[in-house]
Amino acid sequence: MSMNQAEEGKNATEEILIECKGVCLSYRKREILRGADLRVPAGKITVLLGKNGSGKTTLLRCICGIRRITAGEIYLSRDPLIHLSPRERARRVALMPQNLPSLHRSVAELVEMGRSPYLSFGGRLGDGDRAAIERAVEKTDTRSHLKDAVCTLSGGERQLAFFAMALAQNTRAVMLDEPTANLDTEYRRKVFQTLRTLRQEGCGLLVTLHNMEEAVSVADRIAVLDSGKMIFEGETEEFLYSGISERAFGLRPIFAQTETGERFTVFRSADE
Amino acid sequence: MKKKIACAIVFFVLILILAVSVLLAFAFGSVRFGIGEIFLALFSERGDPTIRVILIQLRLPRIAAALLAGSGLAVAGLLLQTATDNDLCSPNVIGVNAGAGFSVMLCLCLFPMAFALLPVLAFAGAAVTTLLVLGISFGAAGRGVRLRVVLAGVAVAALFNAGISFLSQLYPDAIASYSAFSVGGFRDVYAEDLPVPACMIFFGLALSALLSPRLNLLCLGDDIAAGLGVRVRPLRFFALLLASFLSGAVVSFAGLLGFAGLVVPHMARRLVGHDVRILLPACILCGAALVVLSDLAARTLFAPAELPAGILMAALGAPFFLYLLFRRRVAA
Repeated sequence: MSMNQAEEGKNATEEILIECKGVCLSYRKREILRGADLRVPAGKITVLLGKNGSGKTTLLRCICGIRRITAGEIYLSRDPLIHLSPRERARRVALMPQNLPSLHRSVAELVEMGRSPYLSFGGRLGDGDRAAIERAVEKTDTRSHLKDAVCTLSGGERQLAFFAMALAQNTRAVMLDEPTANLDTEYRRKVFQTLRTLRQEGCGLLVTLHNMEEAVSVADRIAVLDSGKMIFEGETEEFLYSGISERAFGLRPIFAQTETGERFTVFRSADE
Repeated sequence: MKKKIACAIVFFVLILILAVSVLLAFAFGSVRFGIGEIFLALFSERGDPTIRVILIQLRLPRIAAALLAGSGLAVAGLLLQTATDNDLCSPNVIGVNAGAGFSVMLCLCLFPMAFALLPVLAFAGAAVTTLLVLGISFGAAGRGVRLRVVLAGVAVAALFNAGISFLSQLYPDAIASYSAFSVGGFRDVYAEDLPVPACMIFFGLALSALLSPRLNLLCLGDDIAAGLGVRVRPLRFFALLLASFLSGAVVSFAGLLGFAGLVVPHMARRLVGHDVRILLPACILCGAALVVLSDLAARTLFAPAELPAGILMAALGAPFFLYLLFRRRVAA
């Protein structure tokens, strides 16, 4: 009873932007998602962990309505996803996928495309659209590349350009699929910086990551997906002490402290 | 801002080129007229009635046909290239023209007098071919879809071209000249043939313009486009249908004129960039000018003999296309 009350109290203060309940998806007789549950609250960074092929990317694509789920429910700010039009959905959740195309368009044009869920049929930008574009460019620090063609950018710059496009969508829920893959430390720092800024503004972020150290350093909450099922979902602290990382990834957390007193976590192979 | 001015200049030049081409097409032919004579005959009571008859009854339908065919094919090519995200697509590469042509031949053989039916049937043939080719290439899922579109198109085109030759052997009288039909040209175009395809082409161009902001997003790939609220599959399907509609309309009067559909979108991209909203009008202007000039050259270069415009277009277009290919390699 007291547990229930605590849950309810939490729900009242916490706004849930994305909620998945028992999401299933089969493709060519293969079950990719088998009843995955997930909640992405506002003002927090939720990191989705899982091995390759565990269904992380597929789950993000389902939330974006790119893949149609075979069972279960997805809610965006309490409204069922299936009741939202594609444009309405695109105003509530943005996705930056992992594989980004190389384009013969300028970064400015790309970021502008992020506004398309708001544009009328003619596609003219209004003042509000320009302001949103401006904010997105500011947050991702892409102003110096606005005139460059996307295909001429380096991997990190391209990632930031597409990040800017996703931010121009001006959604409260933002999902990033492996935003730091193939990036050097400087760009990783930029991406994480932007994520923290967004968190402060009350966005709910859902990020998939491979690197465990990065995950625990940036995440408020962690969810672990294993062959299509969510085997853990909770606060980062809980994750570290639950032993789930050892069971799921064979990695043991080691808590360490620098000479100046900063605490950090590293992961070691459990066999060592 | 600079880009906008550059764009405006490009459009101004394109319009100028088109206007001059049309004027030249009026002026040159078996009889040559001065510009003064043309204006006098067309717009004044005092003009020479013979000149007026030649201009309005002989040259005008041809020029109109070339304008329609050029803009229709160029936009059909642009739609195909954008919708499949494949620069190699064009109505004749993926067999859409062949399908429309087969349908036209069939109609001419079975109902020789049903001219009004031709564009509609050509559209049906083109649409069936498009769906067939895309069904083959997308049905087998996996990688290399882009290549498979082209391969499936080549195979389907070969099949329909064989069908066209077969019908022309079986009914040698169905069309005046099989070779002219298969290369494409405007020698046998009469004013009566044009109204229905003209309406279809205008309608198709208008719809393409309405779709262009959304088509722009397809270059991002299906996932990102869908994430931005585009209904990707219906949009792609509609764009392909529209492309078949346009090329069907063109094939019904111009034969298997093809090269414009492949080359013009590439040409236009060089000039104005990759934004479909700007590319579309650029394609219309470029395509119209290219085909009008090709037709003019076709009927004057070897006068009194006349070549089908398709031959000249291929002769001009192929080297240009190769040039584009090599320049891109250097740039890459």
